[in-house]
Amino acid sequence: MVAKKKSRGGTVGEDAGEGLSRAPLQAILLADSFSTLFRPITLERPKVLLPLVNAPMIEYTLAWLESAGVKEVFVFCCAHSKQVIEYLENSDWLNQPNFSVSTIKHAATSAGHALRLIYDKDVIRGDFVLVTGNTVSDMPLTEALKEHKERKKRDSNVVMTMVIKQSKPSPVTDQSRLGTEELFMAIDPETKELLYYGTSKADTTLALDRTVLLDRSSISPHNDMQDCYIDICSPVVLSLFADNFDYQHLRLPFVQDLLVDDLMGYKIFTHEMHHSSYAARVDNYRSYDTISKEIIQRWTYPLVPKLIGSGTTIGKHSQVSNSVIGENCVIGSNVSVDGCYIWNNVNIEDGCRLKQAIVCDGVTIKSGAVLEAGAVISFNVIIGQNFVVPAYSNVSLLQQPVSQGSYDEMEELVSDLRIQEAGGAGYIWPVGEGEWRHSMAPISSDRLVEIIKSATDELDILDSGNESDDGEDDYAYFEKEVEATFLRAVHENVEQDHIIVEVDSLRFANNLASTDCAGALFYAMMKYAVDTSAGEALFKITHGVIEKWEKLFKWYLLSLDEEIEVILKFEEMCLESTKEYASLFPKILRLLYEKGILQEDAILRWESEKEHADESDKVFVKKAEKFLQGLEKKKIGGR
Amino acid sequence: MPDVHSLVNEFVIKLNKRQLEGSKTTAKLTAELLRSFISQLRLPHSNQAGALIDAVKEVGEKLIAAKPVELAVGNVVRRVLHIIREEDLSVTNAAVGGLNLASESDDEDNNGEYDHPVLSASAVAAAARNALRPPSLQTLLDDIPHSAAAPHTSSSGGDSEGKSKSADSLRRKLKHDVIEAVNELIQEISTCHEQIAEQAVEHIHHNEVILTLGSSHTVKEFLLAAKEKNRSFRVFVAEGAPRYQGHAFAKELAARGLQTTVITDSAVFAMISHVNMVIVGAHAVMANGGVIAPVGLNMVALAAKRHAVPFAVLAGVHKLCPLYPHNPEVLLNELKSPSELLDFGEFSDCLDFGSGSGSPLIHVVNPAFDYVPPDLVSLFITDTGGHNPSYIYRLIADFYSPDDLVVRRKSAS
Repeated sequence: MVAKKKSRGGTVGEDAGEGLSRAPLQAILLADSFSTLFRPITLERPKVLLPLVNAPMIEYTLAWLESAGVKEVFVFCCAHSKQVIEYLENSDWLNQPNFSVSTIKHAATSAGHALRLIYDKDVIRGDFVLVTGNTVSDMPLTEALKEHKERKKRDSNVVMTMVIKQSKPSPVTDQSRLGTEELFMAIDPETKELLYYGTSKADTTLALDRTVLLDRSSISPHNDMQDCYIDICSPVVLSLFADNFDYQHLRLPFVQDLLVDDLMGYKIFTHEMHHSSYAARVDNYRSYDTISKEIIQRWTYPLVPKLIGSGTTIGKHSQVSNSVIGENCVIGSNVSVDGCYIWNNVNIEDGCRLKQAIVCDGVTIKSGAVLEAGAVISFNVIIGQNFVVPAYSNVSLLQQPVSQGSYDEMEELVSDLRIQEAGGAGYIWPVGEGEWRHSMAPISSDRLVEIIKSATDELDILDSGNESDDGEDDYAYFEKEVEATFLRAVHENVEQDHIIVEVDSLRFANNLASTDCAGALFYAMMKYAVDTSAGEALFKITHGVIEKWEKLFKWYLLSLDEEIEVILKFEEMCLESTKEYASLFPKILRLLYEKGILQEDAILRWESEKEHADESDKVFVKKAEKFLQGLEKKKIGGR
Repeated sequence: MPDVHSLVNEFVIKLNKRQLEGSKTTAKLTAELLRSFISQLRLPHSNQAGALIDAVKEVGEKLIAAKPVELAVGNVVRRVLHIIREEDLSVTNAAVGGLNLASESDDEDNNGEYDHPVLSASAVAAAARNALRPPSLQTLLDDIPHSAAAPHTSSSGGDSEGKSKSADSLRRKLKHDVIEAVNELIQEISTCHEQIAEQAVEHIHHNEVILTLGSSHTVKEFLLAAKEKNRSFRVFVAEGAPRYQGHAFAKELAARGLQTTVITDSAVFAMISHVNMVIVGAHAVMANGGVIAPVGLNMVALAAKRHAVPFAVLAGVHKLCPLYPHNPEVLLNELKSPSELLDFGEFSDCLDFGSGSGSPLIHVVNPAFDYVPPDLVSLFITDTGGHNPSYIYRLIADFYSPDDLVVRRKSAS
């Protein structure tokens, strides 16, 4: 493996030499995700330093960048920049051979802002890798880089290669396993050019510009792709951000703008990661949980940290499952911990019950307390005795920064009192509406049922009862519809052509064969005849009906198969639904023959089919014996 | 000093990141690293061997911790420690011998340390016996790592006043000899394939069918050596899931003119009755004669046992591990990435932790190794010849000192 990687690296180096730059590969690592999804934890510590399976997230990102052959990394620190820089200074990263890490510190407010500042610094010399400090990956960059450079050689408008990965979203909640929204992309399957990028929330319909089809033979739309947020960018990306102050995020509206803008003709390409590699970004608690579990399952091998830190003690009769526990924690006896992430120096007293919670450094949970699913306990909070932290709630020593109005404030005050009473310290933040989507607690089955129900309700409204019940009843339903159509034709004098169209559409809607059409139409005609006749004149009326609708009927008798089906249908009717015809069977059969609706071959085939049937099945064959014999004679004579 | 340390660190990082594969390369690199470490080490005037052993142990501990599952690292570290002890013995004995001739009185002091006469020849013999003694229960239980080294060095140190010149040269001699011996070790590791391959003709006969699993450099050399001696035989190669190295292996064999058949791992039992001998490589050979080998080999060994097909394991001496599989120091297995088995994209919807119980319904376990118990192994073919599994413990006594079984400095323990 090693040798292979190295040789690949070598060829890439040569390619780069042929191109414009011989510069070592650079990367920009944004040590801030400019989002608030990890509050309240991120109020006290930057996201990149949060432990993911007992190692700070930035460790994963840096380790990966180093192994992927990046030589120079600029770590852009915004929020809590002091902590990030301090961490890096205390780690080995700043004095690695062949891998330089330098920090840029600025109180930027968005990713776009950060890139603008980097542009001003003028430190990027060639193509660079753009990632955030919460990326976990083991993918080799060489292949994607090579593709990017080759494309750039052919087309100078190539600005970015976006790394994507196959990952199916949940059909129920419309979100990926990382808790992010379902992502729609349209990609040119040949060149891998990105043609559309959007999330489900932004659009209910996927609208593509017609011009993208002009010089392309095909487009493949995807909803099974996950954006890894690993981009290989040309330096021009920085200037684009510098020129457009609207671009706040790395994706929207930046990517959409580039795709739509014809003027400059900038192009973005995608690189689908090889399936043996892994990449994901920690965006919210759900992805924190998912990625932690994937690390534990060793998808990121050889980056596989310890599950329980050193110096941690666990008391008697305690149960720990599906969890990660940090260093120097004390867990009492009879504690149950399920699916939790317990960071360092946490003290959990006897008899606590924790389920799918994140417990940050220095937290004390006093005896008998319960954390319900999805709770997040921020730094140094004390949970009082027997206190129950409700599901999806965030608890912090700090109050939620007030932004909207007084309503939130009032709630905070109430929750503040509650937790103090129980002998603890901290504020419970109000629980947001869609908290369950991003929470690390799995979506409860009740919730799933609810979602499915509301989704199917919507569907029902759309289809308004046009649905057929079941596969088995398809034909019965179809038969009824054909009958209704036929009756309408009779009563409203609809043209025959129209009926044909209607019957055909019914046939396609129910996915039936043309033989079924013939059978159903015959049934409808005969039924109509019976219903209008008073009993004695049945044959006469039937005769009239057949004569009248002969043309229509013949339309459906394409081959012998249909004709036989008609005979069988007739037989069935005589036996079951409309016994009135039983006595008229040979007569009508003859009539159909004489009218040229049924050919002699069909009738004879029907007879031979019945030859080996039970006696009871042969009733009508016997009834028509005379007619059949006549036919046979004629046939032989004809020859 | 600093550059050696950075070398050590680099090696540790490489091991940590699993960038080194194969016990032979790892063993060789470890030996080379230790050689440059020893050559750059400044030894104190007194208790040289003790200091050297301590320093090597310190580094060794780090190296072993970097990738505990690569037992070859620990083996080489222990081999080097053993070399130091042996060289020290012979140097001291030479010194004692020399002193013997010079003055009779000095002997009395040193004499106390030994329970045999001080004639130089017999002292060397005794020392040799001492060094090669099998791991008796007593030596295993006595936690006195300096028992061998300390007394001898004190004797050489004690003499330094009177015979400073000769002691000084002896000091340099110890380091020199150790490096010489480590060089021999490196040589031995790099030539072990040829040594093993030389024995091929004794084991592979005309018109035989040999079965192997996956890919092993040692096995390849072995088979090709037999081929070169004009033995005509056929080889069955089980593909070795999940890495399927057997495919490339079969190609290599076929390119060299060997009649090769590729079978799936699951077909081994069906095919074993056609086979005359199973020849496989190993990851490590434990002290009890058990084998740590690529996953799937236990199944092959059981099939071979069932059909009474000889099961031969090829292993260079550097793969001999003085530990027992029940030893807590031994990490027997490594779980690798599930991506070798499954395509993540295809299975991403089954790996959704967001709904249901929160634990995925699909779990992938991808162990790298199997443990083949000694009773399933018919023969070990090492560079020192063929051995029975039950003889391995004796072989280990030749190469390792019982004091080094646990590579940990005293302060740390």
